[in-house]
Amino acid sequence: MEFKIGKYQAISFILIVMINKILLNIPKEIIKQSQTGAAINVIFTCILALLLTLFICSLVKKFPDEDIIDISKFVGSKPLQVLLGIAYILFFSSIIITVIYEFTNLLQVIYFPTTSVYLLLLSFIIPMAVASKIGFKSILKTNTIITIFILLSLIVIFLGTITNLRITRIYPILGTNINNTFIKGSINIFGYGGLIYLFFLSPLLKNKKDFKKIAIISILISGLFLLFTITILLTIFPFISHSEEILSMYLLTRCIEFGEFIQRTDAIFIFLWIISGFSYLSISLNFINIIFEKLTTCNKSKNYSYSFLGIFFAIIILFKNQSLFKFLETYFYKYFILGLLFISLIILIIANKKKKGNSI
Amino acid sequence: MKKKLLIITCILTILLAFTKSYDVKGTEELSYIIAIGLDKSDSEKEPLSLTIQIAKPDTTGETGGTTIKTETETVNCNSFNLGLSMLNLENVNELNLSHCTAIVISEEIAKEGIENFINTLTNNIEIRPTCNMLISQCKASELLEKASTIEDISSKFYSSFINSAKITSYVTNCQLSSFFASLHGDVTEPLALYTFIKNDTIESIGLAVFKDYKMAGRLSGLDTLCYNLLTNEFEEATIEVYNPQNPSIPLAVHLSGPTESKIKVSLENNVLKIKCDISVNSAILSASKNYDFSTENSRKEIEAEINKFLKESFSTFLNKTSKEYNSDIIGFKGYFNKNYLTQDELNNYNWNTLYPKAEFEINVTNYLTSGFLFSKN
Repeated sequence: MEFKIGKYQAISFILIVMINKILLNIPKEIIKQSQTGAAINVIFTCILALLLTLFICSLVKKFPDEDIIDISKFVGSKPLQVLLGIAYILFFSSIIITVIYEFTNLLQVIYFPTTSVYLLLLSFIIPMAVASKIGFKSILKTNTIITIFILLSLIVIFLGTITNLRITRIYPILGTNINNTFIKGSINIFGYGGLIYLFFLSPLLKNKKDFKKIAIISILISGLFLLFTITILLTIFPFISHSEEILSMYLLTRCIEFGEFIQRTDAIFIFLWIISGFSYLSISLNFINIIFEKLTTCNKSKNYSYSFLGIFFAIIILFKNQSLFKFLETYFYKYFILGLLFISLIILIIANKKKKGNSI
Repeated sequence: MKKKLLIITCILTILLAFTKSYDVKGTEELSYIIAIGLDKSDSEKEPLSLTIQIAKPDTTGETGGTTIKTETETVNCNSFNLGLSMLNLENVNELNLSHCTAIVISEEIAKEGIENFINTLTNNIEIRPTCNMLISQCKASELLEKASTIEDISSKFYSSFINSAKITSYVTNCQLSSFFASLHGDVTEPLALYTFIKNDTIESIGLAVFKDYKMAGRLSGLDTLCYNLLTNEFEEATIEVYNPQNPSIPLAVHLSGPTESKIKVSLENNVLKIKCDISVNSAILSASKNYDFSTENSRKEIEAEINKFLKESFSTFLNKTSKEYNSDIIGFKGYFNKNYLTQDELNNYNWNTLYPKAEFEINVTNYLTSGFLFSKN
C-alpha cells in the first residue's frame, strides 16, 4: 500500500463498518435470535469478540506488512490465495449489494415513491465510482469526519428516545433460555463485522504497534453502541423480535421530538446514514480493488471498480425479489462472515507455525 | 482534466437525484388532515365511516391576514385507505396525513374491536407515531365537527389535552406508537384518551382501557391520577379530602413531585401479590374561616386523611382494571417477568389467569410540605 493511516483513521474505519451494520438491521437479527436476552447476549458476544481480537492481534504480529490475502499465498501458494480472494470479493460484493438495496428501498418507500429505482441506484453507484477515482486515502480521511457525526447522531437517537423506553420490557433478562442466549447465541458474534476488516488493517497502519490498541478500542466502542441500540429497541418496541419492518433504527428516529420546535427529525438522520453508507460502500469497493489487484496482474485495479459497480447495478436490477436481498443480508452474511473468520484464523495459525518452522 | 471530470460527475449525480423534483407536490397543492375520525356506519356494505378534519387557509378574514379554518368531511367505506381515496376524489388538493395529530375512534366501534384499521394506520408513513389516540363517547364525526367550530387551529387543540395532563393528571399521554406497541407482545395493555362533548366544548377526562383490540371500559379522572402515579408520569394534581377541622367543607390538597413509585410483584400459593409503594408531596390549598394547620397534630391528621383517600382510590382503580376489565395497563406483567430469568421458566405461569385474581397491597406515604402563604387563620 502506497499510503499509511493513523490511529484515529483506523478506528473510524472499523467503526464505520460496525455503525452501518447497526443501522442495517444487525441489532434486529440479534434480537430475533436471543429475544429479551439480546442485551446480555451482546455483552457476552462482545467479550468473545474481544478475545478473538486479542487472538488475531497475536497472530498478525508476525505479519505486520501483509494482509490475509498475502498470508494465504505464503501458506498455500497461489491457489489458496485465489480461493480466499474470491471468497472475500464475494463477501464485500454481497455487502455492497445489500447496503445499496437497503438504502434505495428505504428512500423509495419514504421519500421517493414515484422515482425510478434506477435513478436512486445511480445516486449511490456514481458517488462510489467518483470516490474510487479519488482514491482510498481520501475515502479513509473523509470517513474519520463522517464517523464522528454518525456516532453523535446515534447518541442523539438514544437521548431523544429515552423518554419512551420501558425498562420492564427487557425481562426475562436471559431471553428464551440459556442455550439460546449463550450457546446458540454465540453465533451473534457475526454482528461484529469489523473483525473481518482487522485482517486487512495491519499493512495500512503507519505504526504497526498500534494495531492491538486500535482493534480493542474499535471492538469495545462497537460493542457499546450495539448494546445501547439493542437495549433501546427492546425497551421501546416490544414487537421487534417478531415483526418485519423497513429499518428498526428509522422507526426510532420517528419517535424523536425535542419539545415543540424540533420534530420530524428523521430526514436529518437518513441524510447522515446515507453519507455513512457511501463511506462504507466505498471502503468495501476499495477492498475489492485491492484483492483483485493481488489476485491478478493488474496494476491499476481501481479502473476495474467501474466494472464491478456495473455488475452490482445489474444484479440489483435483475433480482428485484426482496427475499433474495433479505437472504443475503441475514443468513448469507451471518454464516459467510463466520466461515471467513474461521478460515482466515486457520490460515493465520498455519502461517504462524510455518514462519516459526522457517525461522528454526 | 481530472478535476473537470469530477465536477461534471458531481453535477450529473445531483441532477439525476432531483429529476423527479419537477412533479413534487408543493404545500399549496396539498390539503392537510389534522384529525381522523372512525365510526361505525349505517351501511351494511360499507361498515366503516371515515371522517377527516382538514385545515384550510382562510383569506377572507377582516384583518387581511391568512387564518386557518378547519372543516370536516365524512365518507362511508370498507377500509381506511379506500375511504381516503374516496375523499381524495372529492378534494381538489391531495390529502396529506403528515400533520395529523389525532385519531378519534368512537366508543361504539372501539368496544367491537379496532383490529381492522389500527395496524393500517400505524403502517401509514405519513401518520406520525406521536399522533394522539382518542376515544369519543359520541360519534367521532360529531366530535370533529364540534372541534372545527370551537378552534381555529385544531391540531394544537388535540395536543392541549396532553398539556393539561401536567397540571391535572386527569389524562395521560396516549400516542399511536405506544398504543401499537401495547397491542403487540407488550407487558401492558393499550390506552387511549377518553373524550366527550360537554355543552359547547370538548372535554377529555379519564382513559379508555383496552383488552387487546377491544375497549374494556373507562377510567375516571381520579383513576387516571392513580395510573399516572403508578407509572411515574405524575407531575401535579389537586384532590379533595375529608376536612377533620371543618367536616362540611372538603379540604383541597395539592399533590406534587413524588419519588418514583415502587412496584413488586410476587407469586405466593399461586396467587399474585402486587405491592405498590407510592409517595407524594402534599400542600394544603384550602383556607376556610377558622383554620389551623400549623400544629404537628393537625398536620399528622391531614396526612393520614390524604393517605386514606389515596389508598382507597388506588384500591378502586386497581380492582377495576384487574377484576372488572382484566387489563394490565400499568404493566405489572413486566415486574412479574423480572422474577424469572428465562422465558422457559415463565411459560409455567399464565399471566392472563393470574392477574384477575391478584391481591394488592398499597402503601401510600405523603409529606405535607406547606400550607402555602398562611397555615393558620
